[in-house]
Amino acid sequence: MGNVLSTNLLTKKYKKHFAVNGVNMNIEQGDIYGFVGENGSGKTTVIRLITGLIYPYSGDFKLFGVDNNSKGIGKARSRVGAIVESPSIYMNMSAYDNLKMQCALLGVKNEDKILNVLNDVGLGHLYGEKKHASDFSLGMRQRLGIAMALLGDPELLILDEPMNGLDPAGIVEIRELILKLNHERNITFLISSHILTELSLVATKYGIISKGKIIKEITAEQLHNECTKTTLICADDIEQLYKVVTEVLPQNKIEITEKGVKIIGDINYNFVLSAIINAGIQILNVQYSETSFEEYYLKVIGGANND
Amino acid sequence: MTELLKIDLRRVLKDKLLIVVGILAATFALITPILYVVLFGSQDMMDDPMIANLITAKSQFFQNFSMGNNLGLIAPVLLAIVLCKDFSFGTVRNKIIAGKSRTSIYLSLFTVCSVTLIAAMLLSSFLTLGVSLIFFDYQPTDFTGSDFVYFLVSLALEILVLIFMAALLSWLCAVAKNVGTVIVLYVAISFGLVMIGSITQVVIGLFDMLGGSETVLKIVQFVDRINIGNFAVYIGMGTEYSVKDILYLTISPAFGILFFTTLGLLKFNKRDLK
Repeated sequence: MGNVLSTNLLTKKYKKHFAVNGVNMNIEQGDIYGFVGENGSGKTTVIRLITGLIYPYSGDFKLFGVDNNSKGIGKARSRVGAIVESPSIYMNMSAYDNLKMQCALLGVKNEDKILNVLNDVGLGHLYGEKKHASDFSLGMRQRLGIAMALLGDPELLILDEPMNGLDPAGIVEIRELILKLNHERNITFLISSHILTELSLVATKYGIISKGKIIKEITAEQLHNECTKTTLICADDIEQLYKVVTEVLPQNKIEITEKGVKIIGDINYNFVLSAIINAGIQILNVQYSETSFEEYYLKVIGGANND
Repeated sequence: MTELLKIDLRRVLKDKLLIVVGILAATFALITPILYVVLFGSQDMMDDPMIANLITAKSQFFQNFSMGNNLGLIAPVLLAIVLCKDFSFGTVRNKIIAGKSRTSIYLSLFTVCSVTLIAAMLLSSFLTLGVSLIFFDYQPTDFTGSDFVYFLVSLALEILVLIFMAALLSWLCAVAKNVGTVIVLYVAISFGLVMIGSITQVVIGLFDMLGGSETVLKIVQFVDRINIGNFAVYIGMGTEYSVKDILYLTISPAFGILFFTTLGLLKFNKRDLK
């Protein structure tokens, strides 16, 4: 897998305030990178830096292997599609005209693509419609923005808060579109959002940013392990308990603790508890706990803020 | 650059404000000559050589280009609203993300601004000429043996002034953060230049009547000649051009174009965009 984006101590300073401070992040080809952070944490500033809308104070980044200070960065950037903060559309034009303008900008000759991308984002009914974008709902504008970003067949699609303003059905459609584009066209995504549960349904990797710094980069698998359900069974004979549990739950991760045995992941309680009782072990206590993505995020952010 | 020019021109042509510019161009073309007839049409007035000089179809045509007059002031203001939409809608971001250089984005904006301004002013001025010919004589000027050459030279000089106005407007669009600031600054600069022109004309008149220091007079005359806001007094008013006149009328706007374009490019290339 090739490296699509890597930043090296990327910093942006406004007067005395560091909006982004020494950000290091890596996005591999095919990743759906969930960029998570509270409001004002620096997500949009990082995206603006990558898309060339603002200049770094210090640090650099490589986009498709091209250094941001080299002449080839423009060409590398043309392989990117993006929505930064809000969709960049001409409000006094129709969806079709907006896409036609984007075709002209990107040098896309085949105008059949307009209908294709409109269909992709669920706005096919707007093809040929003269209604201006100013009359669209926020969700429709968001979809039109995504359609425009898709016109140039981007290899990296940067979506800043793409679920903003979308109704539940729209959120599902956009989520499915992201997954479809990722699977079928191998498009890499950088998606910023503060709707963590939504992000957790698509992302394969996460970058958690707080106060302008990336405090954690974690894969979906690692996050799953961190956030998964755990069951702690306390018994009189912990060693015997461990032996029984490992026998009946060969797929689960099992750890011995001071009080008992900790089982990570989903289990069939009736089956496990029956096996323990049948082995003659006296169960003292059963504790179930589950860490959600939100809890994990708050824990990470809290830890970083305490440092 | 071609793609940028194509989309910038398309978005300007698709803007309804362009229709407003067209309507205003036609309205001013119709009203201005009639106003001149009403205000200066009497025989007494016509006997004044200065007024007689103003009331010819040719001078009406060239007066229309003045940056402090009618469409000369309103067209750039409306154009500023259209051009700044690229920043207010955030569509300039699409151009940068598409890999276009900031220099080509700026030059495209400047080119489209110039072309649109020139087209609007030519339309308005030729309409003015048409209506003026109903009321006034054309009064040809013998310049290098041909009035047509005089007309073409004057028109070229006016177009140079329009390109200067476009350079100023593009610079303001690149510097200011919103369209309101662009309009206020543009109007202030235009009026400032026109006001300085009026003051220098009055001072020169006073020197003619009362006399005074030769050095001061020369400085005032120099300021008067290089001030673009005052070019309407010199271009197309029926007086033949000397080589010195043409140099003054060419170098000043050319310097302004170069100055504002360089300044605009430097600023736009460093500016953080929202």
